[in-house]
Amino acid sequence: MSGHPATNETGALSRDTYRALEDVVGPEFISDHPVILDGYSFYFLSELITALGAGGEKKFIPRPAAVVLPGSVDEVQQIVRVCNRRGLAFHAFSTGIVCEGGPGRIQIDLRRLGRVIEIDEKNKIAVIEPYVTNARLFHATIKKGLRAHVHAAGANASPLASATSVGGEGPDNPSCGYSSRNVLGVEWVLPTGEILRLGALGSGAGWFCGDGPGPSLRGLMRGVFGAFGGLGVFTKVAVKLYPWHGPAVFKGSGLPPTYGGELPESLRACFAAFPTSDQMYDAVSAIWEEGIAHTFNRMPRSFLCYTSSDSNQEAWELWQSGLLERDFTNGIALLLAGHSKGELDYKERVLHDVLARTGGKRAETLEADPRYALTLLRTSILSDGVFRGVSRPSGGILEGYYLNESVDVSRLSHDASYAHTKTFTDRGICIDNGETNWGTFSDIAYLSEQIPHFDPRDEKSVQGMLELLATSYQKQFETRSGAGLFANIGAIMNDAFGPMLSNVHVWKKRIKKALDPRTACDPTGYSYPEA
Amino acid sequence: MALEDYEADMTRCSRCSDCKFAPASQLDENRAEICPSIGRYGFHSYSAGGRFVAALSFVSKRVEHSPELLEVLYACQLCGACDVACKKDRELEPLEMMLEFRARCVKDGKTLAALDRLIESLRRSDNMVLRPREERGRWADGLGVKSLATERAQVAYHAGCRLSFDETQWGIARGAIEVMQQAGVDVGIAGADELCCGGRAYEMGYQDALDEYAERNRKVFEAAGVKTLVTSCAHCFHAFEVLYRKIGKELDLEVVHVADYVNQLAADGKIALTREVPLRVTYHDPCHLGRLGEPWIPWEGEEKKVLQQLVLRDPPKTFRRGTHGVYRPPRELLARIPGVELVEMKRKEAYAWCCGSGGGVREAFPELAAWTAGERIDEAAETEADALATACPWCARGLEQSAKAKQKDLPVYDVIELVRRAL
Ligand code: SF4
Ligand code: SF4
Repeated sequence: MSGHPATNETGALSRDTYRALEDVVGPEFISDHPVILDGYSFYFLSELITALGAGGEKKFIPRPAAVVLPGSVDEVQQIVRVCNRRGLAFHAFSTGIVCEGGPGRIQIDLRRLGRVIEIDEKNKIAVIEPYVTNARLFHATIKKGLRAHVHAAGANASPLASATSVGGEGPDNPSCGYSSRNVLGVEWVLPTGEILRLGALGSGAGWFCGDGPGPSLRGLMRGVFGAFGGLGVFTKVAVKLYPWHGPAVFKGSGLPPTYGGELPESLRACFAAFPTSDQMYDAVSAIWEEGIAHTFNRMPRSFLCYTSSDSNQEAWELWQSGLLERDFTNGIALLLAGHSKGELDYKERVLHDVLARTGGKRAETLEADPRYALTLLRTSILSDGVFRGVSRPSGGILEGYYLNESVDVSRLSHDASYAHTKTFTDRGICIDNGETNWGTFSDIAYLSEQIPHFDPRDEKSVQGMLELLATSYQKQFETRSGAGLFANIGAIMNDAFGPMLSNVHVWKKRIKKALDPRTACDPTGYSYPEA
Repeated sequence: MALEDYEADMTRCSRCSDCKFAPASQLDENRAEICPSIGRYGFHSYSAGGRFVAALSFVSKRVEHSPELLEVLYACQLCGACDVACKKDRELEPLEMMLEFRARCVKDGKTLAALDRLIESLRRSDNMVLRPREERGRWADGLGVKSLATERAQVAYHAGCRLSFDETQWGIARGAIEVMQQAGVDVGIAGADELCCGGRAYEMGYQDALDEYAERNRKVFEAAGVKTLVTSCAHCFHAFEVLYRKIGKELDLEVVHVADYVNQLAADGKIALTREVPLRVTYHDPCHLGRLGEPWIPWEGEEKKVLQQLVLRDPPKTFRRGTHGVYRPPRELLARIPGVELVEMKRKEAYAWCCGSGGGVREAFPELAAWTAGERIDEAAETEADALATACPWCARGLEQSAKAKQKDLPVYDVIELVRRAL
């Protein structure tokens, strides 16, 4: 410790601590002015972050003490060391969809680390920095006939953040696996300031394998959900690349808001619907087993309605037309990919066979209208336009029921989870979307989410959503239908739900203590250390 | 609308960062970013999403007026790239909110000295470039063009403040008149009596100026019986065509940018572009002609909800999303010039990168203006074009200065200058 208090009683940085950080990044790239800091204190559901232990007031989580924009891993390391020396906590983010703020904390904004460092075509590896987005990585890799997994948080979310720190599911899970499966190596500034390189990289053998030769700590680093920035700062990641069947340049034609274009010949968009959700789940299992899906969405009709329309008004008119209810209830949407027409024909025949066995029907009206195919292509391959479905309708969504389990567990909770959500829509808390379970599958499980839309502007809606979240999780545990998303996220939830989750909280506390003996890295999103 | 009227938008910003990048199906690995402000300064507050947060913080009384707040608000060209990117998938109004935030600052007497000087010049001499009024009409000396002060004309050509006073750019305005004269257009100019459009002042937060100049300009054009108003300046075009309608002072005439007008003259066979101009040209869309040049769509109503929380507007609102900006005519005009080969930059049309000069940035944050122009010059150079063409004197001036500063051999032309060479 420096001997000087790093912050005063209001959480403001002392001048010499500010100078120590300024010496690292330069005067242009540090600020402690409230106007700048509030940019790091707002989240559309800050009430949730507050409830997860960050504190704060209406719509704002507490301001950090300062924000810094490092321009290199060396600067990140020095910032972390200053924090350790002066007893400050830090927290880093990439593109910053969620921010956690925190009084007295140093927010590390990784915006200046935005290079695609390498696309290794031969070994199918991309090495990137934190501020590279899904979209940029996609365009960089397709030039070489490859693509990386794209998580569903939007085209401008960070694949590094997803690979190292946060969830990471997306409609392309069936062909790419989810983010945890795609990490081949990281450069990791530990909470102490040491740099750890995982996988083959740790023994100087390049980025090709996340499990060595060299240290293999992938489970510890992120496990299933990630540490949400609670275990240090990731400054580089290598991710796996997969074959891309489409053209080297992927560009929509025309002008906003809707870009035209065509489905590449190597991809086919298929929409199908089922008389009952049970039949739909039978088909999900069969499609999973057959391995034909390049991307897969169990898609609530509301999601297709919002993403395929240019405005809420248009969505409302489409909704009222009854088309989607008639043709896309218990619906699934998938892209098939093939290197040849023969391969695509084969996969389509398999799909037909699955539908015949399960009582499903192709949604021909949707397949005849190219806007649905293009919507599916963009949202599934590139996470482009997902905010039409996420934030345009009412401003925000929140995962209620969230299951990463077998298809059968999802099947069993399907009606109950909808019925539970319906009690909230009936109270006017969230949009009445009809069926709402979104789902996809990866090599580990079937993911199913209830994603009700609420209005961050409406206090009743916000408070109702927090209640929905808490009661959904309770119900999930009572009915043994998996653990809600946030049950594993954040120090408070960790303590509350850990005992029901194989005591994961105990392990996380140990990991936190071992990697971060001074609790220099903000524990709010992950876990407090072992006492 | 007042700043507080955008509070719902402030709380519904999803921090998705779409306002910082071109849409995923339009961008490339490089040159993906569209916002000069955050590009230069880095902190989230220097983006549209960040300014929503700053606004929420301000209306919630968490932050007050301060030099830092002014910098966050004014170190932004109001180029609108964020606005169309956000609205591609949402129904928020980041640009309108930023305009109102500036207006609030002016109303509260919190202003930037550099911009106050411009407004004084405007009050004193009816121009935004700190020059004496008497010098205004000199650019047209010897052209023999009608004076709208004394004669009637079907078409008025409005040079705008920049072209009127920058001798090095007079060729653009003179060229426009010569082309129209050659086509037999009944054109006149207000000359020394020409007035500022008021648009740049409006964007700087001095909203009253727009009311005043809309009124005074209307009188000038009405008195001369003008049916069509042609201008070379994208800012003036935007003010006459978009902002006057926005404030309910729509001019009773057709407003056309000169590139569009001359393109039509060529299409109608009124001018013949016959001389070879062997150039590989890349075209820079001026923000105020391109995405912001989309006509104003009046709407008055309120929010309503269906399905409990699905947000609609009553009556339905059509959002301006950059769909109907003036993108095609300047390109068509370039394509008509024999020998010109058009090569596009990565960021074009609705997602074109700003030249750096708008929103008061050229005057208040010259370093940001230069950096922004420098990025565009680098992008233009990547196309391996011989020249950069544009359709606004503000863009041309900033880009030309940047090319010189960077010692790039990339001449910058107004499209009309190339047309003249082809006549
Ligand atoms: S302003 Fe719009 S695009 Fe930007 S972060 Fe907010 S919602 Fe996203
Ligand atoms: S108007 Fe232009 S400079 Fe200002 S925030 Fe939007 S994109 Fe950035």
